Amino acid sequence: MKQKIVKSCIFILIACTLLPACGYKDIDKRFFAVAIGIDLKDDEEKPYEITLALAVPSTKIEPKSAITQIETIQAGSIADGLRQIKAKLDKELDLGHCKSIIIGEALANEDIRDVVYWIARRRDIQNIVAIAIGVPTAADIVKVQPDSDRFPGNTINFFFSRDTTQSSYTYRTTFTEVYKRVLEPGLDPIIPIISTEGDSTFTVNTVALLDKQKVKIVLTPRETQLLNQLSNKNNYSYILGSYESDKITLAINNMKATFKINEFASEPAVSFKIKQKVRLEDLPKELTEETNTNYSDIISQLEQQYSEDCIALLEKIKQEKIDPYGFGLRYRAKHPISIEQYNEVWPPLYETVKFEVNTKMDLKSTGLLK
Amino acid sequence: MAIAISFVIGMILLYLFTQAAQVFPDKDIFEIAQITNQKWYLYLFLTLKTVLSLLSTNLVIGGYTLIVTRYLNPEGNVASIVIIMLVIVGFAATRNLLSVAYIVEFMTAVSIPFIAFIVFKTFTNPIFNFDSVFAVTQHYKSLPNLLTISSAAFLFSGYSHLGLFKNQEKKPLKFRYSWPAPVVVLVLLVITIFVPIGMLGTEASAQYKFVWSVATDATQMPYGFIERLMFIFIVVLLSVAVTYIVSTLSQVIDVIKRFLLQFKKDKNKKDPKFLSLYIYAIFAILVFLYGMNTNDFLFEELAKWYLMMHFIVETLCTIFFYIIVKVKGKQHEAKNS
Repeated sequence: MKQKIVKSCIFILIACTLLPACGYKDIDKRFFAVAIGIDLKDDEEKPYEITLALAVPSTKIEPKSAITQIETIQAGSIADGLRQIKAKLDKELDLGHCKSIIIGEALANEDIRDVVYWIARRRDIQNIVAIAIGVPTAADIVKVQPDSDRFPGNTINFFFSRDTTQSSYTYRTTFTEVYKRVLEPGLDPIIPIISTEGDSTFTVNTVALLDKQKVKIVLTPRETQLLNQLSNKNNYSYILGSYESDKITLAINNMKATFKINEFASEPAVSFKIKQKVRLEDLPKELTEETNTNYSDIISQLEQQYSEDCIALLEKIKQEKIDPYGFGLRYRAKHPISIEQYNEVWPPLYETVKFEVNTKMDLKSTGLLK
Repeated sequence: MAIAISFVIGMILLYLFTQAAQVFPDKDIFEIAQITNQKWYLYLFLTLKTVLSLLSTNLVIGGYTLIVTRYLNPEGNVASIVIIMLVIVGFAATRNLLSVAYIVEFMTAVSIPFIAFIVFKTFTNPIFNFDSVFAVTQHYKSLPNLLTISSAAFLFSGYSHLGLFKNQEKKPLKFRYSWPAPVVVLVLLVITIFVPIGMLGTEASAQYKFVWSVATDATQMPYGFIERLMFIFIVVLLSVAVTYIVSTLSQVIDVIKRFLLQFKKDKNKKDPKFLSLYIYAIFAILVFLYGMNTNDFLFEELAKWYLMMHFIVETLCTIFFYIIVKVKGKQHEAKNS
């Protein structure tokens, strides 16, 4: 009998250790931030403007039914700004569901490192959060509420999601990759640019290439597509992109690009080998009659043209002294040198390096026409 | 180079241990030390193992509390997390050694598929970059220090748990085909070190405190019922950490209990009930005090010292055990025959 009483008391004591879980704030007492925008202002004391898109829970999931509350604050630091925004909210601010962080154009042209280090130190922001540069400002992007939104922040999240739109003009990157590239010698950051057209939707068809600190160059949509293809980024998409030259359009079904550094050659070179499986999408009628049956003359011309375009892009990037492809990292992977030795040896070598691109296109189909 | 050195040391120590353990197949370390009349080894083994197991319990429970308050529940009460873990560990560690051996076997079998899944998902992440891995391996000629060798050798030291487990079943354990174990551990060691470097880069991975938590957080499961792989990783980490602590503590509690029972005046009297619980209670109080007063810096320093001490203690204990069994064991056998 005594033993039973003792055991019951011990059981009750153990059960009491689970009571602290009752202090956990429930979902109806939390505000979930689905997107964060960070801009740079001219104010020296309060240079950061933080804009939060907060999801207001709703039972409706039809388009146009998403209700988003926008909160903006200007503060001396990002952490301080979020603390001040909490004072404006009736619920607990939760950043665990934030899927997109937009950096304003002015801040991206100045220094992104403060934002990046703040995100890295925060424990609740997911490392898979999408990073983009907002044009004209991050606040303009975050405030847009497209009609197609079923849930708050849905549309902007889908632009950077791998299982929705698969445009070859959209470069997707997560915070992990940006942080890796900001710190890694020999690999520089690439961040997509998101712009808005009115209040209806977004456009994500360009990228900004940065050194470790700020934007150095913005690529055109066509160059962005080329960058996407050369980075082997779109492994999950059926159509990687289209190549157009002299009114000929090819759809690239599958592509693999690898590179080698020949630093000991008489003229140091980086040689790319590109293999593509392509499908003919559009060919002018006059060319159909001129060409041979397997289109080999057109394909070899397009291979040459593609190689030249790649070389032009790589040279353009090299002029800005940035290395988004990771040629420097490949050099470090092949040579046992310290970071200091790498900083002495690689930059002068990179300036003199020549690019060689060898493209092989394998025409799989000409569509429904011969 | 630390990986290669620790692999060689691990193989040698495993060989010494298995050779020594097979001389008296039906006796464990405690009994062998008694019958060969090597009380100094017993005291050394007992003291060092007690200190080490206390440290490791502190580190695992304190470290896991840090992870839970960072990633799972930032508003969580540290005291309640520590107490819950102490209650769970206390219940399991005070069972008999055979039950604990079954617990270890079961938890290993349950955890392996999840670990394999986590490794597969992180390895096949599109942001995984082999150039970062090779950039680090280029420095293989750099001389290691005691800390790096200790950290790598820690994975190879699991054989020492068999010292007390080997005679728990009716049929004593035979150490056949033990050579694959270090090879498997080597593969695990390489994966443990290089996967986060490939995911996060050479510089970023050096900056994070909990590298694997961040690496799994960078991996998405878009079609999974939980999108963030990190939650699965933390649950698996909890199960593996608790299993390790239960195994370590149960051995130390068992050895202390047997040591104390040696001084029992009336040998016919029944052993005191709940003696294991009383011994565990002392551990639990010390761990609770540590858990309430720890911080990130203390945790890191303690972890470094623990790994170095563990390496030295395990190496010395294994070598002395081999010498005792081979030298004194022969004398004991000659005396008995």
